[in-house]
Amino acid sequence: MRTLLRLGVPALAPRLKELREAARETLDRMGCAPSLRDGLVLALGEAAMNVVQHGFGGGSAAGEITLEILDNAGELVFRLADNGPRADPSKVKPRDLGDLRPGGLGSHFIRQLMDETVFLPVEGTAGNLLEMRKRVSQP
Amino acid sequence: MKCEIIDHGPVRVVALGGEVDMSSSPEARRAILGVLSRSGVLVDLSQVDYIDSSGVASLVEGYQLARERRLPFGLVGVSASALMVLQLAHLHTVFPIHGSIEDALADG
Repeated sequence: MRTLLRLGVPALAPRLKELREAARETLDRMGCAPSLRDGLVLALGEAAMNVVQHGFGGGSAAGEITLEILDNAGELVFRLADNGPRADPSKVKPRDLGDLRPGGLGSHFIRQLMDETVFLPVEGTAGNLLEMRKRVSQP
Repeated sequence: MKCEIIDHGPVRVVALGGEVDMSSSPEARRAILGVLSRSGVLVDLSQVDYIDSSGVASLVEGYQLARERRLPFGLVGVSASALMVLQLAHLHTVFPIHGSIEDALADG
C-alpha cells in the first residue's frame, strides 16, 4: 500500500478542519470526483469528531488524532489513530433514522459512505485504530 | 463559519456560511434557537461548504422547537454539499426546503 497522507493533530474540535482539508487535497490529487470526495471527507470528519467527543470528553490538547490515507490498488484505506481510552465498538452503532432527534447521525454517515469500517487491534490498554475502506475504481 | 441574523420582512433569517462543524455548530444552534424564542426562522444554507452531524443536529433542534411552538421553520437555498448530508440523514423530506427566501414567503 502506498501512503498518500499522514497527519496528526491535537484532539481539539477547531483542529479537525486541518484533517479535513488535508484529506480533501489528497483526494483531489487522486482525481476523486467532487461528490465522492465530499462524502469521504464527511465520513472522516465524523470519525474524528467521535474521537474528540467520546474519547477525549469534548477535546484535549494532550490527545492526538492521526489520519493516514493509503492507496491499495483502486481502494482507498483511511486509518484514524488516537491515544484516547479504548473505545467499545459495540457502542458505536448507527441509530434508527425514523427516530427524529438531534445527534447520533455520525456513525450512520460513516457506514453509508464507506465500504468497510473496523477497529483494528492495538497493543497496550489505550488507543484506538479505526480503519475505513472505500473502493474507488475497479481492481 | 459565518452566522448572520437578518430581518427579512415578516421573517428572520439565520444565514450560515462556510463550515458548520463541531466547533462552530454551537453558534449556529444558539442563533436558530434564539430567533425561535421570538419568531419563526428560515435557515439559509446557500453559502455552506461543509456541514456535519453536529450542524444537522442544530437544524433538528430548531425544527423540533418550531413545531412545539407552532412557529414557521424552513431551510432556503440549500447548497449541494448541505443537501448531500440532509439526504444521507433522510431529512431532506422532513425539513421544509425552499429555493429562496421569496419562495418560502410565497409558500407560507
